[in-house]
Amino acid sequence: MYRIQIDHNKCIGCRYCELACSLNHLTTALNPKKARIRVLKEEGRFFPVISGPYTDAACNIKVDLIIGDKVYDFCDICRASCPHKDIFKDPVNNTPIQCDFCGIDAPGPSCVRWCPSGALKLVEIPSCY
Amino acid sequence: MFGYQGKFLRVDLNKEKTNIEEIDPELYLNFLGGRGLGVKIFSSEVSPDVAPLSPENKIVIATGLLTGTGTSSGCICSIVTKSSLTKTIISAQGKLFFGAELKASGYDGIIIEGKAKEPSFLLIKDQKVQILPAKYLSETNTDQTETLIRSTINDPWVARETRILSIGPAGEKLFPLAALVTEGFLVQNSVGIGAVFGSKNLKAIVVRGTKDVVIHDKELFFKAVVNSIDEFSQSESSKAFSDLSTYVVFEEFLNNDILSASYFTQSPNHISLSQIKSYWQRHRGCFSCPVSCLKAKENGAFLPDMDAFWALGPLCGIYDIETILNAYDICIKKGLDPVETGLTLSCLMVLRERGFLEKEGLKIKPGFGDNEAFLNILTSIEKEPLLGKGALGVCQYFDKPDLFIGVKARSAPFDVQSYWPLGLQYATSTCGATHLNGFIFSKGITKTTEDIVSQVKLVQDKTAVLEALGVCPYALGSFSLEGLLSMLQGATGLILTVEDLLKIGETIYQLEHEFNQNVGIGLEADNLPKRWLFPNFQSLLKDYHQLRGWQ
Repeated sequence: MYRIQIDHNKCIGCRYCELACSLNHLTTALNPKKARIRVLKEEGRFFPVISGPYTDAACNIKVDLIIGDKVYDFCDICRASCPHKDIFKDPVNNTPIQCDFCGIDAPGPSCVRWCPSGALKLVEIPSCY
Repeated sequence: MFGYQGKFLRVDLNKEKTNIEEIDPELYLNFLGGRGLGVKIFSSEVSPDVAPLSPENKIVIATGLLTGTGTSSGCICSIVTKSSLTKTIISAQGKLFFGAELKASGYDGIIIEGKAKEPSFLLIKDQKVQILPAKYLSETNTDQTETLIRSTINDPWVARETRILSIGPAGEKLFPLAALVTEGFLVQNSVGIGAVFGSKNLKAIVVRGTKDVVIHDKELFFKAVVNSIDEFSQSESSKAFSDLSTYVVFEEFLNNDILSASYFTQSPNHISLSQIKSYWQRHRGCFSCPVSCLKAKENGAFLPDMDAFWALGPLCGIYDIETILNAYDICIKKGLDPVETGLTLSCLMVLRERGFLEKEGLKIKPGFGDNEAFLNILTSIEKEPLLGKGALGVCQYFDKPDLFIGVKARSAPFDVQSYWPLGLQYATSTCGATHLNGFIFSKGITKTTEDIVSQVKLVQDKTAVLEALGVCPYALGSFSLEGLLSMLQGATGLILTVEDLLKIGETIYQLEHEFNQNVGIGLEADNLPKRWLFPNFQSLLKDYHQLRGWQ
């Protein structure tokens, strides 16, 4: 089984992954706002987040995440697109979009293929993992 | 129309009106975009005699033809106006994400004219363009401005992805020293533009775009980008530039006496690259740039380039790295150009050393190497209009214009007495003594001494065309022009040769020169300070003018 491994320490915030994803799915255009992978910037660090499934209902609880001395809203790094979160929806027609692990047969998902810093890697691991 | 949007946004601050204008496709063919299109539009719309701070002056912000398409290092947008420091035309290089976001909002650029009645900021969200009051932002530092504007946006993701270009208190006070800042990073070569924004009462430009950038040939483009990333990861010189950024030439410059101290009067004390490197915690990349040459602290604050570091440090007699980095932070927060600010203070120090400050009732009297006084002056610099005038202004105030080291009213950070190519670049640059529009840092650069004239012209033309394409000039150390051609073809469908590109670069340089000549800054201004005139400077300069066809 293949997985995309994210090493946020290596991410330089260039957003090549967003561009590659949008180019592969829109076929003739680039638009990072329609990408299925988005890079979250926080305090000079970058966290690539890959979109997960759409849920009809939003969570009815709020979760805080404490990293260092700052409190973050857990929604920020959640992968789902839900009625409360617009980031993984098409900005024009509001359709939820989800990562489809494109181009798995070589040379790998397009975000991984374009990543220049090595922050995104394709790794093969046993399926029992 | 592939790779670009074909439209400019015209913002009239007088009437608070905005208008969308189609641009003649022929212009894109002849000038590509970015600096080329910006200079063309600016020079055809603005009269050369206009005062830089008057409402008649305009600001043209133009994205390059390949900005935001995903082309390697295609992140630049050019900001063209008449500089209040040098009085020449100037083209700044806005890096990071602003250019790409502007193109994604559906416009290739913005033309700003007139003057707003009260402090305002411009908000662009795709089709929705508004001029909003910004009184609550007046005299805020650039970092606070960004935080305050972002805090008004509900969705945290959208807030983070909104791009802001702003001026600090220095720009509002109309200091010629003032520059532009985007996301805590200095807009390169923007000295003198901050005051033009301030004179228009324009505090910030806020952009968010969700439009597509349509490209011509997906297969070709995808392959070309993958190739360029592979080429980058295999090349030694790009590795070196990625690791060290502009400091790649630090030791070479130090050994060749190009870096001197205390306003060019002494050799510097020992300062090593490893000391400086110990402060680099993170590597940051601009939009679609694999080079990641920007260095940052743990908290993400950017660290100075070599010229800024040197101007705020050893040229002021300061060797404590902590102090230099603090000074740089203050400059960014206040919206000051660090190079010109450092050299202005350094100039004041040399005036004091020679006893010229005694007669005047000036309260501030900094000495070389006085860390505390240096930081104190910077912290309250907006209260010192004299310093805001820049190094030449200070020298003229004390009636000692001969002490000024620079060209066309702009200070030079590197000593060029033993480095002639850079000397010729300083003298002939269209916006004063700077390496930013015609000099590329790479290892072994000081060894090129043959055929200086054509080398300098070639690099100036290359830089001009790269800025027109929207590609960062720093990337030329890593990618060749040939590699860019296939990306250009994939993205736009244009098939050009390297010669075509250089020809366009030459045209841009020619346009800038003509504008300056009409301002009254002609060939006689292409000069070096007396102390720096090396033996065959005059003959090199003559050859250079001849090569460009200027009489």
